[in-house]
Amino acid sequence: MATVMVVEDDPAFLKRFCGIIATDPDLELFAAVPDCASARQALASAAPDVLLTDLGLPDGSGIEIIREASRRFPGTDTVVITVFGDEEHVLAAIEAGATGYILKDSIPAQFVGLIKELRAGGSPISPVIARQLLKRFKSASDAGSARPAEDAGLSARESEVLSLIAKGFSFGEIARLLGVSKHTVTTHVKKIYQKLAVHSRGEAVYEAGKMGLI
Amino acid sequence: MRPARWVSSSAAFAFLLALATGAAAAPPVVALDAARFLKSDSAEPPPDSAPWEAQALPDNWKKSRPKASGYGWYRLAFDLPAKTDAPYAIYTPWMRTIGAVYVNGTEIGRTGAFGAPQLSPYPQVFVIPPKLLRAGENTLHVRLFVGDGWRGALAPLTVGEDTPVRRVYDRRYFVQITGAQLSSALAAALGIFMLMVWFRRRNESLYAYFGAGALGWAAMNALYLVQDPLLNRDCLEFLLAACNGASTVCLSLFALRYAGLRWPRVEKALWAWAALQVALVFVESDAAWMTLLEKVLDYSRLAVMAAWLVLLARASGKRPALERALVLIAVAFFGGTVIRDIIAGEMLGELDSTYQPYRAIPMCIAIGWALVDRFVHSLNESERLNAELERRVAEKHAELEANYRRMNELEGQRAVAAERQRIMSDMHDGVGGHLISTLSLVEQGDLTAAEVAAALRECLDDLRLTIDSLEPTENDLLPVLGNLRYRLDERLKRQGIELDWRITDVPKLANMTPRNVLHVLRILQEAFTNVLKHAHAANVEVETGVDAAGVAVYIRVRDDGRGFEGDRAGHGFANMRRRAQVVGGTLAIQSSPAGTTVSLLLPLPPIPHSGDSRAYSRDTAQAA
Repeated sequence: MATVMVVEDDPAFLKRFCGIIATDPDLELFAAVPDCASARQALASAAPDVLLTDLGLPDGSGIEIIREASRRFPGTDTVVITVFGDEEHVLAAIEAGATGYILKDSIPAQFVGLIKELRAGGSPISPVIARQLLKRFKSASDAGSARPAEDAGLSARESEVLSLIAKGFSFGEIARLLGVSKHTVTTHVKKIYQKLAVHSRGEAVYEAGKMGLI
Repeated sequence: MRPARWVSSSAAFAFLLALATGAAAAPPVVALDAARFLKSDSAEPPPDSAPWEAQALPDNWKKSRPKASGYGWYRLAFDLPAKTDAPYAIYTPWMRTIGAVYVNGTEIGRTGAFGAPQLSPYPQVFVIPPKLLRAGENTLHVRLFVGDGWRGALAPLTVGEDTPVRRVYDRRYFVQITGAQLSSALAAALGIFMLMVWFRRRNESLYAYFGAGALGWAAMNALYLVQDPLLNRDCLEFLLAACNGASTVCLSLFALRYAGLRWPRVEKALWAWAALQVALVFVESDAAWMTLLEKVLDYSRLAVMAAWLVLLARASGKRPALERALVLIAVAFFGGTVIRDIIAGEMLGELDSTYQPYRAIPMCIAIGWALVDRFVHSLNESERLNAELERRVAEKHAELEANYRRMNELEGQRAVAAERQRIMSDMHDGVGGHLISTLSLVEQGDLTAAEVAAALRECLDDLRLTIDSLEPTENDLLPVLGNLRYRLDERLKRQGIELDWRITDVPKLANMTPRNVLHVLRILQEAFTNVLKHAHAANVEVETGVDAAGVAVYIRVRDDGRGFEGDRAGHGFANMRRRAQVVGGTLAIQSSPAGTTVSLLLPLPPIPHSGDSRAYSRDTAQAA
């Protein structure tokens, strides 16, 4: 049983998501709100297991909600709802602490499957996002003196997983190729997400220091 | 102001000279210039009864007894008020060529060996032992030897107590010898310096001529001071003539260059003139033509000197005020002292010029200054030019930067326009077309809600494909394929089609622009659509690799469906082929009842960049 909260300003989609959650016996609706203010209100005292949020909200960006929620509730899986799954939006959300993204037009089965995958400790990831992550970590390690790539963030196994994902291999295939369980692969991915979030927080601290804010 | 300065400086110089020569020496020194002369070969002072003739000093034999040579005697007298114990001395600025001095019949000293003529340019001083002197009149005899062809002469004698006489002698020595040496050294140093400047700047012959002229003049000056019998008279005269000639010609050429003139004929004539003077040294002749020639040469020397002095003075008119003043002073001093020497020599019978060794000093200073000024000026000029050059380079640099920025902007605008054009055309081909056909079907009311949803989903998929094609690929096809699989996975799974993903690393392709990437994606999507819609396949295999020839990458989509008849999918395949052609690849489709294979061949860059990539493609080809 997982509690799910949805932040979505389009009433039709909000209704659709609520409907999918209501029809699945394993899911329970925590809250369904149309903007940042009511989302913060809903999150004031308690947290859902899964938080789904759109990015363009009438009173602010979903990125803020993701950032706040992932900081306050480490146990909550935050997921960004995107139309195209394009790298720019998804990476920004991951940096803010999101552990996954979902396409707005997903069919109910995909939607439920994703939430369950998240609860099982996995993170969905597309080849394009994997490729972007690889690039992101590589440039971070290039920038930081002569440290080996692993130190900059990714372990050798993690970057192997990412590059296989980038070539289109599924988690199951990767698990077979690497001789590990599928679950191990999914947790690798989740860890990579977290690292990017930590990494970007560190970068933010560094930037703030540079600007004389702290 | 200029003339005033000129007057005051030359007056000061004259004053200093006066001090140095001790013209106004105090008593008890007596200058003796009234003598009696007797031409006699006698080795002892001839008796008073001999036929002595009155002779004023200085006595220049060339004037008083031309062409005479051999021995002659002078007799002079001076009074002493009382017998003295103090040492006395006799001084004379010159005594030519060899002389011996007798006091009251006893010889007190001589300047050299009689009979072997040599020239001493030095002033002479002789100490008189007190015991030779007596109260009242004392008699002095000077025995003089003049070699054949030498210029004999005797200057006035100065007699007095040793100390004041020696003081006069010392002053004379300083002016006549030490000063002349210093002057020569100065001119030589300047000459060498100028030659060094010229050595590094060969095209400025100005420096060479002045350097050589100054050196020649210094050498001539030094030769006047030589009394070493190592040099015989011919040799000495030759050297003097050579130095004098070379120096005069060089200074004349310098004056021409200084005035910015080049007169090749005159210059050649000057060298010939100098050579003639040197050659005449070796001619021993008393012929009338020889005398005339010598006279002519004497005057020509003066004329040449006057010419280059005038040239210098005139040329200095164009130069800065300080340089002009210095040059004018130098010219005036040089010319003035020459005229004075001629007058002194011709009229007063002086043999030596006090000014001669100093004549060139102001000239050296003036020309030295002029050349240094010229040198500094060109240094300043080059610095100014450098600064100017730097400024212009900076200007050009800024201009280039502005140009570059403008070009960048234009390029950016062009790229944006091209991209907009591309996206428009993609929308038109893809999602736009899909939407229009879906819309018309919906309007005809022929579709169920599920069919409309499926049609719209196709639109969305197409839109996503377009977005994926915008992903920067860096000519790497694999992430593009990966994303296609990611998009299709769900639908394959729903239809229960097993996907065998056999993707291996392939070399980077040439020319994978977003447009070409989209073409490749559409070809593959079309292949998958056929599998999903028509093939009834259970398995699909996607494989990448390098072809056997190593010139192309292939992407193969193979299903185990039921295949198709030739005419059925004609339009779709024609479209795929067209797209393959656009990206420079080829498409091969094989279909049989056992399945369909679609192979897309994409060319590799024509020439591998290094052995590495060649090896890589071979390896991959074998692996495939």
